[in-house]
Amino acid sequence: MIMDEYDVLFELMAQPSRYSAEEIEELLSSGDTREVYNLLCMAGGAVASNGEDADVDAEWRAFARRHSGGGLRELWRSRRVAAIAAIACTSLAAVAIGIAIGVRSLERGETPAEVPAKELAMEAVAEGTEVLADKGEMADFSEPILFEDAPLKEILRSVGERYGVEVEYARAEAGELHLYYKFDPSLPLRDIVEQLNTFEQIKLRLQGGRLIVE
Amino acid sequence: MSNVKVIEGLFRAHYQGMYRLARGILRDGDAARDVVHDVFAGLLSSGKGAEVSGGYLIWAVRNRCLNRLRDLSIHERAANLYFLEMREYDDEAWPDEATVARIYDIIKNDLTSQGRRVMELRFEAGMSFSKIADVLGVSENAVYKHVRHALVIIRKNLNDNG
Repeated sequence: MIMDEYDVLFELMAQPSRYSAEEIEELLSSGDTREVYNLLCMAGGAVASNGEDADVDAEWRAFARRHSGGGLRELWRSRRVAAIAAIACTSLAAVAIGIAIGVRSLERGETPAEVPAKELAMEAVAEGTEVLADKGEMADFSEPILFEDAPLKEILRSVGERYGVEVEYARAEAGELHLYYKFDPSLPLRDIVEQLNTFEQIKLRLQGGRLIVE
Repeated sequence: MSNVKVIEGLFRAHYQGMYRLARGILRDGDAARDVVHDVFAGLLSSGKGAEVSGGYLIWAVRNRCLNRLRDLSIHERAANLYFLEMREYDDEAWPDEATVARIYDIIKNDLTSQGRRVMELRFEAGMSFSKIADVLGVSENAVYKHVRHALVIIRKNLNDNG
């Protein structure tokens, strides 16, 4: 019986443990089989992401319970008191309006009053360094660079070259952290810093034209 | 406004989108929930709530999801239908909203009700193909035929429309 790419894939899906890592790689190395496998991955993602919506209120309550120390405990307590008191509606509405304005202004790229001076300084430096970098047309940075399991210091070396900033490490070992990152040199430096700061163990800040790794 | 109140605002405004993204990548509701909660826990402990945007939150979720997948063996990837190589998440720009919407539209509108059910049981409920066959009272071969049909239609649609 001649097996097409679908048959090959389904046989593998039925019992992947029967195959060695090399055999799986070989089976999925053919263009057609890999294409169908990737389509199946994507179809799975499409179905999963369109499942039932989360109950955001319940999730917030669960989050607040789990992180009930410090500020959240105060907020939680005040909410319970407010729920008992008849004035809850007006105070919560005021908070909600404040949050809505804050979130919208953040998304528009405006700077809300609460943004600390550090962030303002970072923005100023980022705008300046981007202009400087644009003056030198560096062919190496004409397209995104994919870092796969690369140490942070290697990634930041490229970032430093691209934007003309010095990189400083508060702790040398921070540069040894390995990660998977797609560096898009067409983005402003502040976006790169923001992207890298989304990694749990990384904290970067811009200060006087230097990129500090904390 | 305090950091906590800012975080609550961000949580309420962006939780749904972040959760859907995480579930689309991980296909596991509990893991997706953990990832999203972790992002907000990070904001809470760092005090950076006021500094972030919706775009940051989406990036944070994607990064954390990919971090979870990075160390999986090839067997685990194949068994859970994750891309075999991390770079494919970027090559495919996955998950991009337009492609997700197109694929889901095909599954919702162009499959038989049984075919759609097979896809939902596999990817929403996380059942194996053999378990799906049991639940629906059909042969495993019939389940594969439904999946095959779904993939043929999706492949044709994506290839025809670029």
